[in-house]
Amino acid sequence: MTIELKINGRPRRLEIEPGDMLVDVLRDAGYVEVKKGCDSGSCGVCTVLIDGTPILSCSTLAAKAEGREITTVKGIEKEASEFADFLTAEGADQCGFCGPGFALTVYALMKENNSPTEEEIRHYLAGNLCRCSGYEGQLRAITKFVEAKNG
Amino acid sequence: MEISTYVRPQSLEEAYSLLADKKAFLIGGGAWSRMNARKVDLAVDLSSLDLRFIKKSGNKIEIGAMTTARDLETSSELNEAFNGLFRKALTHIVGVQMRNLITLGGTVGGKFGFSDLNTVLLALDAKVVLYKQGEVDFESYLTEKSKGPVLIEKIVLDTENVHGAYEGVRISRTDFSILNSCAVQRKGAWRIAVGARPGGPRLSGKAAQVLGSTEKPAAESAKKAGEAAAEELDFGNDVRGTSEYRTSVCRSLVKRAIQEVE
Repeated sequence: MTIELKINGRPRRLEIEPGDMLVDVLRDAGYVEVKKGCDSGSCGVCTVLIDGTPILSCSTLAAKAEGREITTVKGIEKEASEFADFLTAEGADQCGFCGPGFALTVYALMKENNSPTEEEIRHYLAGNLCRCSGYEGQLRAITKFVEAKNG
Repeated sequence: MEISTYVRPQSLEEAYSLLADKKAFLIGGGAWSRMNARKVDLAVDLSSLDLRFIKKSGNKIEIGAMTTARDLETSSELNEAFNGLFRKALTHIVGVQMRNLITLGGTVGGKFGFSDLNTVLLALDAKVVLYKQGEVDFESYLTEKSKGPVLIEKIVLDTENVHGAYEGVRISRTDFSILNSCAVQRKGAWRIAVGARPGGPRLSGKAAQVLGSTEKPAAESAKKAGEAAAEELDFGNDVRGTSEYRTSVCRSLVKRAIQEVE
């Protein structure tokens, strides 16, 4: 079957199998910045935005993306780059594999709530796992990023 | 999941016909598709049927089948009416990204044993509105065989004079519940539901009987109700816990839920 959608602002027409998952379709189409982790809906590394809402692309049928707008981390390159500076400054990024999912989820959080409390950050990011950092550095980075964004 | 054909009907009638005539498989959020090894000839996506809504009218709240878990968690109308019950029950389900996918209809339709939401809906005495079959009690829906093809339109909740509390136990924050419970007090009667046993939620009539019409049960009554629920209900084994462990947890969990009802 064919789906028509927008990816990072560009219209795309993709041939898919009806049971394909979005993460596989995106990666096959060249969007390899979408990472594949647990592949079972638990780790958050495959996060993308669908019409601005964060979802797990490993748990979304690609057919559901018909007519929708998908944003990968490359679609928010400027914001992700700014956020990455805070991660680096706090020593919160080691292998970087969880980074795209984290950046997109932080981006979505800020769209929903531009001055989240620490508890709200922890809650919103609970679905993004990181095997390297232990989360405290990331929490500091996000907190400082939020403070910087709010001047 | 292997799917041969995928369609997105534009009306409930069209979806129902596909379900009745071709034994189609309904897709709500599709969140568990990856984990499902089923082979499906015809998948019917319900996304185009305008079933994503939360509407309050008088003492009733109607929730469309395609409303997401995140919608329920963040709905001010729902959480005001039930004192944050939905927020508390849903907030630890995987992560925000998964809760943006999971739908009410998919959860109710799947009758998943691990569900937190279904335990709450059972305790609240929710009505399930099925296309062409009308309104069914949530308990009957869970336990009785359907008379025909099941196409869930919406859930209806009565908000009048209702007070409830949810409690759950997990190995870690985003994991499935090992056991969950919801206690609801309405117009002098209690409904105590226990879920993730690991089977689907069930009511404990004996626990409700212990509490009678007491609005604010004493700690001893709440304890006895917990013990009654543990004795009455069946519990099983899975990777998260044994039957014995669940039975033991049930006593405390039900007691806590009752004591939290305001």
